This record gives sequence, C-alpha cells and structure tokens, in this order.
Amino acid sequence: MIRNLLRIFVSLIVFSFAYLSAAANDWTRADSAYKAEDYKTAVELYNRILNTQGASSDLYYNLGNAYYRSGNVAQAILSYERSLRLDPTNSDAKDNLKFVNERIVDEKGQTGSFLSTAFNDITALMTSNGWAITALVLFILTALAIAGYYFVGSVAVKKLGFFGGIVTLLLTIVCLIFAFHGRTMQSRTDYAIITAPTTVLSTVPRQPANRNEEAMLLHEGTKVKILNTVTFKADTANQTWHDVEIDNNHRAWINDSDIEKIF
Amino acid sequence: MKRTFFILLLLIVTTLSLTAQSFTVQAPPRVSVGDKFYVKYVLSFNGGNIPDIHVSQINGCKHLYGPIITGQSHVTQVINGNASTTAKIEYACTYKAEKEGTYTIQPATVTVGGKKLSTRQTSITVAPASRPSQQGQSSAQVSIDDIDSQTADKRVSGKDLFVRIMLSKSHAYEQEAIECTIKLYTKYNISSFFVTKQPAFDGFLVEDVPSQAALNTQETLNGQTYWTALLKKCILFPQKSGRLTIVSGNYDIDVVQYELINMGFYTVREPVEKKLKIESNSASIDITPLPQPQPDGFNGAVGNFNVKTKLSANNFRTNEPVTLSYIISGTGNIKFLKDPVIDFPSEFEKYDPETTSDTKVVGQNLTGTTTIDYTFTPTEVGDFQIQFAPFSYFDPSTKEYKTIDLPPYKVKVGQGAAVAAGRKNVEAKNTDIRYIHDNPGKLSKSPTFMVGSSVYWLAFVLVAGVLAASILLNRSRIRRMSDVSGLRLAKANKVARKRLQLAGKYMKSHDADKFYDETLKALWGYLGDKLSMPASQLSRSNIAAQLEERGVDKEQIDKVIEIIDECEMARYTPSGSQEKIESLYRKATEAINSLENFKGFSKKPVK
Repeated sequence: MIRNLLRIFVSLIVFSFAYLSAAANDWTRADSAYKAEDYKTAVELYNRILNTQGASSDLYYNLGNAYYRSGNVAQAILSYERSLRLDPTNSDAKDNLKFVNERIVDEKGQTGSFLSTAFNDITALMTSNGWAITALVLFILTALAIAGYYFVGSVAVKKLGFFGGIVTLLLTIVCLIFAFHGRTMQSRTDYAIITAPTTVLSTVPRQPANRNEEAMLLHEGTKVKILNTVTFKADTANQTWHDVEIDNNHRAWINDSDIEKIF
Repeated sequence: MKRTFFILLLLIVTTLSLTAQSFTVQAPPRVSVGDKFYVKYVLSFNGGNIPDIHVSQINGCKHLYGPIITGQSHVTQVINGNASTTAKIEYACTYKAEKEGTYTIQPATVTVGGKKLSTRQTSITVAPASRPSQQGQSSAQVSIDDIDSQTADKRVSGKDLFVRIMLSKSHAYEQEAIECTIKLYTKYNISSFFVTKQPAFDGFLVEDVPSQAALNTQETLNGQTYWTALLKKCILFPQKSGRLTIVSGNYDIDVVQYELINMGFYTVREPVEKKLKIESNSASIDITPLPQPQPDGFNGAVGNFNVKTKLSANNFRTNEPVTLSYIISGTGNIKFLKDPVIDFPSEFEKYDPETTSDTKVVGQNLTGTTTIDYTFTPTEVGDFQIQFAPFSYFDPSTKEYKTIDLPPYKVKVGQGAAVAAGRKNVEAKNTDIRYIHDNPGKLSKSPTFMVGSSVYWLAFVLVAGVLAASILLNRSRIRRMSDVSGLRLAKANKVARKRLQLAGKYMKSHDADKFYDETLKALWGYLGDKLSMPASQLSRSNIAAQLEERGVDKEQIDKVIEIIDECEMARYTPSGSQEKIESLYRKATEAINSLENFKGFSKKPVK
C-alpha cells in the first residue's frame, strides 16, 4: 500500500517536472521562432502555451508582437489589450498598442469624459493587487501612527501620529477605491475589437436592408464598447447583434461575427 | 437547206409587210422594289422621219431616263419593182420600282404619217424587295480594279469595307508589350472618313506610334485585294491579368459607288456617295499574371533592361548639391516604371526626383532610356552609404525574373561652406514595436484579485485588532498607575518575596535578630500592601479583623497571627535555635504564598 502511494507520488513529481519543462520548452521555441522571423510559427506556439498553461501579460504581449509581424493587425491589438488587462503597468504593451493603433484605418473621436479618462489612467498606474497591497501597507502605517499617538509621550510624536494617521487613513481609502476600480477594469467584458477587414454597421440590429439602414463603415482593429446585445433567430441560424459605442458621438449595431471580445 | 431558208425569209418578209404599221410595248411583268427596269416600245412603220413617242408616268415607279432610242432597223423591199421601206425603231424608258403593288402602264402614243398609234395597256407588279443575293452581286464580286463591279445597286457588305483591330499576340504577361494595329480595309473609294468613337483600351497603358492615315497600300486578305489605310498603331502594356478587351470603335464613312446608266450604245457611270456607319471588331487578349513569388525590388518592369547609376561628383561637401542618376535602358515598359527605391542617409537633404524618358517604338516594343535624377545635399560631415534596392525585371521571352544588383556608394562628406551647426534634438529616424519579452511571468488560467477577498479583509481586521488590543492593554496599565493601592496590591508579593529572600540570607548566616526583623517587615509590608493600609496603622489586633473582613479563612488568619507572635517573641528572647528559625521561615513563605492565592484583596472592603 505504502509502496503504491510512493510510486504515485514519484510519478506525479516526474510529471509535473515534465510539464514545467514543456512550458519552458514551448516558450523558448516560440521565442526562437520569433527571432528567426518565422512569425506564423511563433503565433502558433504562443497560442499553444495560452491554451494549455494559461495566460500572462508577457505572453499576450509576445503574441501581439508575433501577430503584428505576421500582418494580423486586429489580432495584435486584441493581444495587446489582453496583455494590458492582465497587467495595466506593462509599458511595452502600452507603447506597442499605441504604435499599432496609429496604423489602423479608423480614427476615432474622444471616448469617455476627461474625468473618467483621468480616473482610468491613474488606476492603470498599478494593478488592482498593487493598489490593494499599497492600501494594506498604508493601513498598517495608520495603525502605527495611532499607536504612536497613544503610546509615545513626546508632543511632537503625538502630533505627527495624529495628523499622519489621518492622512494615511485617507490614502488607504483612496487606494482601496483604485483597487476596486482596477478590479472592475481588469475584469470587464464589454470591450471588443473589430476583426473583419471591413464591416458595415447597421442602424438596426440586423443586416442593413437598404442604404438608409447603413450606419457607418469600420475597418479591422477598431475598439468598440458593447452596450447591449440582441440574439434572434434569422433564417436557419441564430444571429447576434451588439449595440456598440465607437466613440462619444458614434453608436450603431454590429454583427457578432465581425468582432472579438477582449475577454 | 437553201430552199428551206428561202421559204423562211419569204415568210418573214411577208409578215413584215403585213404588220407594216405597229406600235407595241414590252415590259417585265414582275419587278422588285428598288429594281431598275426598262419598258421597251417597238414601232414599225413605213419609213420617214423618226417620230417622238409620248409616254406617261407609271405609279409607284420613278421615271429615270428616256424614252431613248435603243435600236433601229430599216428594211427596203422591192416587190415586183415596187420599193417599200419598213423602219423598225426601239425605244426604251428606264424606271425604278419604288413601291410595291400592281400598276398600269398607260399606253404610249406616237403619230406616224398623220396617223396616231398607241400601244395596248399593260400592267406591272412590283414585288417586295428581294434579298440582295438574288440581285446578282453574288455572281459579280466587287473588285478594286474593276469600277464596273462597284455599282450603286450593291449593298456595301462587311466584306467590302471594314475596320480591323489587330494584336500582335493572343496572350501575354502583365506589362508585356503588345502591338496593336487598327486598319481600314476597303474595296471602294472613300470620300470622307470620321471617327465617331475611338476604340477604348481599358486596362492598358498606351504608347502611340505616330502615323498618317492614307489609303495607299494594297493588301490581300482571304484571297481578296483591298485598299488599306493605317488608322492607328500603338504599343499596349496590360495593367491587369485576365481577359482584356479592346472595345470596338465607330466610324462614319462615305464610300463612292457608281450608278451605271444605260445610254443605249454606251453606259455612263455616275458616282454616288453612300453614307455608312461602320463598327470595328473588338479584340480580346488573355493576360497572364506575372509568376509568383516576385523577387525583392521588383517594381513591375517587364522586358529586357539594364541599369546603371552615376554620381555627378566625386567629392562631397556639406551643403553642396549632388545629383545621382539612375539610368534604366532597354526594351519593355520602360516609360511606365515606378521610381526605384534608393536608401539615402537621413542626413542628406533630398529633393523630388526628376524623371526623363527617351523612348521610341522599335518593332513591336518600346525601346529607350529612362533617367531618374535624384538631387540631394549632404548636411553632415562623415562617412555615409547610399544603398540601392536590387533592380528586378521579368523577361517574358525566357519567362523568368532577372535581378541586377547595384553596388552601394560609399561617400565621404567633407566640411563645406559656412554652416551654422547648433545643438540638435534627438530625432528618431524610425520607430517600431518593442521587442518581445524573455520571461513569460506567472501563467494562470484566470487572474486573481486581492481586494474584496476575505483573506484581504482579514489582514485589515488583524491590524485593527492588534492596535485595539494594545490600546486596551495600555489603558488598564495607566489606570493601575494612577491607582496606588492597585499597584501596591500587585507589587505586594514581589516586595514580600524580596524581604523573605533577605531573611533567608540572614538565616543562613545565623543572624537571628536580623532574620526576625526582616521576616516581620516582609509580613507587615505584605499585609499592608494587600490591605491598602499604611504599616503604621497595622497591629496584631486589627489585622485579624481586617483579614476576616476580606473573607480570609480563620485558619489562615490564625497561622499569620501565630507567625507574627513567634517573631515578636523571638525578637525579645533571642535564644531561638536554628531549627526553629528554619521552620518559621518555611511557615512565613507558606503563609504569604497561600495569601497570594487568595483573590479577595482587590475588592473594596465592605463597610
């Protein structure tokens, strides 16, 4: 009995080592394919890691690079967006997304208000977990300040403890707000990228029947925000249409097959 | 035989004499619309002047000529010495049938020797126009050498006059030169020629060959000879693959035909112009796309080329312009090449290139030179390199790509005339995406968030709890510090033990007086602390009452009293043995320990 258990245990260890080395192996193979400018193979290998072992910000970042090099701009933007979703502080991913976004056809107007953009930008300075840890550290500082106020006799330390405690407590609350907002931003599923080379958006949630129902023409790589989704049965298959916001002034319906959700 | 002939002649003469004066009409019974026909009148009479005949119009037919005399004969007979003359005159009138129907030919009249003769009335049927083939053209083909064959009654068929678009090839590669010739073929003379719609060369670039249209060449086509005129000649360069069609052109042409007019003994040709609208054929050609993969630097050149480059100067100085000439010579689409890619250092200030082409059509292709002049000014001192993308072209004769590598120029730029060189901002020549990362980081199937998780909140609660606990502890310490009796109570045992230890020391050194003194101090001090009373107020009598009041056992009280009594006694009778001292020490320690275990001292005494 014990011998059997031992055997299972040993084989588990061997397997997990093999699994880990396979991961490292796939990664080096993908990297060397990228370095050899064989971008199609690199895309394939990065995607395999993604499907078998899970995601990371750097994995999506490398995948985005490989997609961009092999000419698939829409998938590159999708990958960079996913990379930033996992880690909003990945500055390389941020730069590459900006670089690729300047090379797509559609030029969008402003999205969101100045305040919401600023709020999102500040939140993106750290991951949600980073904000959470900062909040905890600040709370410990608050506790120490209160302790100093109580336990130390010197008036200077008491003053410092009192006002310092108030400041750190306020900062703790602010950091918690950012942590919560960061979690919302990192887990929202209402953004998508247009993957069809070109698509005509409709003013109604179905294929435009005539020119009066055509809303606008968009090209691949453009990011849209999904506000509403309608699914209905048309002919034989189900059709899904999304009410999307392209920027503050443009809103229309788009077919589900023309977009891919960031998550 | 001879006799028979004689008899016959006799009979004829007899007949003639019998019909001495007659006027008859001969008309075809049936004609078609558009036909010309003759109505013949024959007059026989006995000599004299030739009289005029009067004919009337025929409805539905147009009177063209006549009557004219087409034949006459005079017969003089001598019968029995009597000479008589019989004249026979034939008249002809020419008509053209214009409308179908049956019409009456009114009798013609003539006056001969005071006698009026008239023909009988006949009728003619005009049938609908028959097909031209029935009209005899098929039998007589039009020939450029025979004007008589170019009669106006003939329809000008597509075989007699046409415009042809001819291509030198039936299939070609994209950008490969194709010669296109547009020619007019005619068997008739042409009096005027207008192009109403030029042929359209959609999908081609056209290089025209200058030519003068003149009807000056004879050419035999399908066994027939034509006069030809070259309307247009050009070289075509197809711009896309697939089947390309040259859309036909439209032409307004006046041809000259001849109306043959029978003037009796001779025929007059009167020229008639006929207006025609001609549409040329449309020509199609299959264009093959250029084979894939195309080499780097291929910019659509198809043909046979050579390339060289030339710099206008050998010494380079800053701010002195230099011209680099890129010269492409050869045969093919040389005039329509894209500008080559030349990699100038960004430290050179470039101007727009100038392209000049010197080409002419040789055979079925375009030959010549295209020169692209790049003028630039070096702005920095240093060593630079001007690089060229290799020049690639497709040779349709061998069906393969050829590449000409062009060596780069290594250029040393020296300091030129006055330059105001100041500090410069860092300037990016190009930007690209950042490079991939080496480490995948921690891979996870789904991201985990700390905030909102129970463990996270627990950490906050823990910190707050530690803080609260320490504050509470501190609070109670402060209260005890402010409350002396509390402190004394807490410290009583400690002080008593210290005194007992000192007493222990004296016991070992057999110092009985000091031992009893310290033991008493320890007991009184302990009890004073415990009862929150100053030691001066304590006495043997009130101590039992106080302890009793706090609820201490009677037995314990007695023990304490007993120890105190023993100590007091020994102080005044110092003859105590060592055993006695040791047992007293033990008793005192036990009493303090047992009192320490009693929890009732902190309570306020019940009043």
